[in-house]
Amino acid sequence: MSEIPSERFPLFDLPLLRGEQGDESVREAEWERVFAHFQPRLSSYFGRRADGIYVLDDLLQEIWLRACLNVRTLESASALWTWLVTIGNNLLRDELRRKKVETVPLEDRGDGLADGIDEFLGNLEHAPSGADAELLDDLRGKLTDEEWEFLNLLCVDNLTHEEVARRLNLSTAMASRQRLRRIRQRIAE
Amino acid sequence: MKHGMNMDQFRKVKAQASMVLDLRRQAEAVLARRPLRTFDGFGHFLDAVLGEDRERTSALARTVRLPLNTIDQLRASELDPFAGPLEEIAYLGYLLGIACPDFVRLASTDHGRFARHAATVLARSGVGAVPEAPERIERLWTRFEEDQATAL
Repeated sequence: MSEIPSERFPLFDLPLLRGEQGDESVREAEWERVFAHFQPRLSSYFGRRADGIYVLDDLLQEIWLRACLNVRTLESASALWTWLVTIGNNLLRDELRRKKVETVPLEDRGDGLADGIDEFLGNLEHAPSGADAELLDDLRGKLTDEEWEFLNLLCVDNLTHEEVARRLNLSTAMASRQRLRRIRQRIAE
Repeated sequence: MKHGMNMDQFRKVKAQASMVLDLRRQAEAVLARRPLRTFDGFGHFLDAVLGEDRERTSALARTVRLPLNTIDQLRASELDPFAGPLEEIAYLGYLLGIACPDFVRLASTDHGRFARHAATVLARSGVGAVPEAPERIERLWTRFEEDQATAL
């Protein structure tokens, strides 16, 4: 079986996903693009969080099932990642309630959006090329113009911390990393 | 790298969801011909929607995690929805696209028949002692709606 190669910042066709346009094969192909793009990230994101609560395969299948069932409520394809994470967190919370497992309160983990943003910024800190662009839109209202430009250089322009430091006249790449950590900390607060 | 689920598994999940969505459309078609208030309980409505389609009924059963024979019992009005697995049964109603108050009303009609029967045959059986069921269904419905993208 051949997997569809993942694009870095793909655009997805919402009317196709919602079944409002195209024939069946085109709609299925668009859903498979979505799956190919997000599945590795979901697996990575929930791999640790589901540990001891949910069998990862079962959780991922349930996330995709609920996404397919509720897709007509999706109003923007750019919200896909946040939505998938929210569904997964809802399922984990359900399971925790059922099992009454004593663990880190979900309030401390944050909601889907907060988790998604934190994951996004965390990825940037360690590997800018592996980050998601979708969440930039969610972040825009929380950032100053200077921080916005900084994140765009890292994410959209795909510069390294060294290149960003040179572009913004920061002393070192470490200064760039420290700025990113300050942004994470401020958003977390 | 293992990603936990492959494309073949996704295609099966997608096909299962498509069959459930077909049933939702079937429910809309049923309600276009006949108002919901004319159904004599949730089992009656469920039977009208499912018809003879065993493949889609099986997909629905897998989705709500109910045995197929439980769904058969519901549609034959042989199971009190308030005495059964309430979360799974309420999810059935949610997936078929009916509103929470309508589901509560229909399920209460089914329950009323069992409660009357219990009152005459098994007065102390405990059947019918589920006054909290409507409130619980409302809470469950709120949870189901949290999976909608509009809840973000």
